[in-house]
Amino acid sequence: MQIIKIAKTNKTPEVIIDYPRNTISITGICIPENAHDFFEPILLELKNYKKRKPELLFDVYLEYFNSGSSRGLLALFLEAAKFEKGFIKASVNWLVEEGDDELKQSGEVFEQISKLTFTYKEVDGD
Amino acid sequence: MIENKHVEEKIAQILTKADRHSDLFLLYGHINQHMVNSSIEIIENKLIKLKYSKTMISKTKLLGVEIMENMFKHQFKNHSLSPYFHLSVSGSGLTIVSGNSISSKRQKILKQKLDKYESLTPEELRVLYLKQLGKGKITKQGNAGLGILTIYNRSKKNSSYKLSKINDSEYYFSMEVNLLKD
Repeated sequence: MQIIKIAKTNKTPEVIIDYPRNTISITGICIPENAHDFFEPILLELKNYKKRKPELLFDVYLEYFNSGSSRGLLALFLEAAKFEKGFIKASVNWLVEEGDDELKQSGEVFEQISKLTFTYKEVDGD
Repeated sequence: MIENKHVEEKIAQILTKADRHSDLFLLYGHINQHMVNSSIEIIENKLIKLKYSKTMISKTKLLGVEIMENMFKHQFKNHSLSPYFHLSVSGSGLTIVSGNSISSKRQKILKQKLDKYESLTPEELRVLYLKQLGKGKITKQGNAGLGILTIYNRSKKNSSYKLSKINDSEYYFSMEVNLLKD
């Protein structure tokens, strides 16, 4: 069971798929030139993940993202929601800076569509 | 020399008016994906300095990215007029005004979408956004087809647009988005 890391760039977030800790963390700015090319390998890894692990926690802390990434993120959450039907527990920690209602509301949109359990955590951005 | 009549008046106003503090950011000329990050960084730093709330800063960044990406993704290849993006203080909120050339073919599709969004209430727009986001897929070209809908929904419908014919193959698409203070 390994840790897969995708390094962050000025347009894409750092992604860490941590099999030992049962987590996928996505941190940074998410405006890839091609959202399909960025999210597709993560989605494929997520499909492998469910064959191997009993639970999954997303830690998502994004500064901002574009609509292509909204679709990409939602695809990940919807794939994880399928885990729940196979009795694998999946949930999301949606991190925002203290007092940032706009990004919190973005998380609520993903929660509403995916039906995954979202926990909203405020972090000190300074 | 500025030749774009859709923006030259605005730039002249910015350069001549006494109260320049209300103009926070202006981008005029060619725009690409690489410029989006740096533009957003400049905007964020200005808004932090002016002590805008985290919510307002995020809203501006999220809308700014969407508007700029929409500009360069749909920019008419043989455009005769340059695009622009302008952020200013207006009342207690902020206003983004943008403009770019699009093809006649794109104009037809866009007008149809925009007229539909303008006919909906903010709540109907939110429901449509959830529906479109939930059912769609990203194309292999990386397009989500959600840009304009995202802008209208995120601004809670405080957006308006104008399409001006330049010639048979080209239109100028101008947009104004008002961000109300939370």
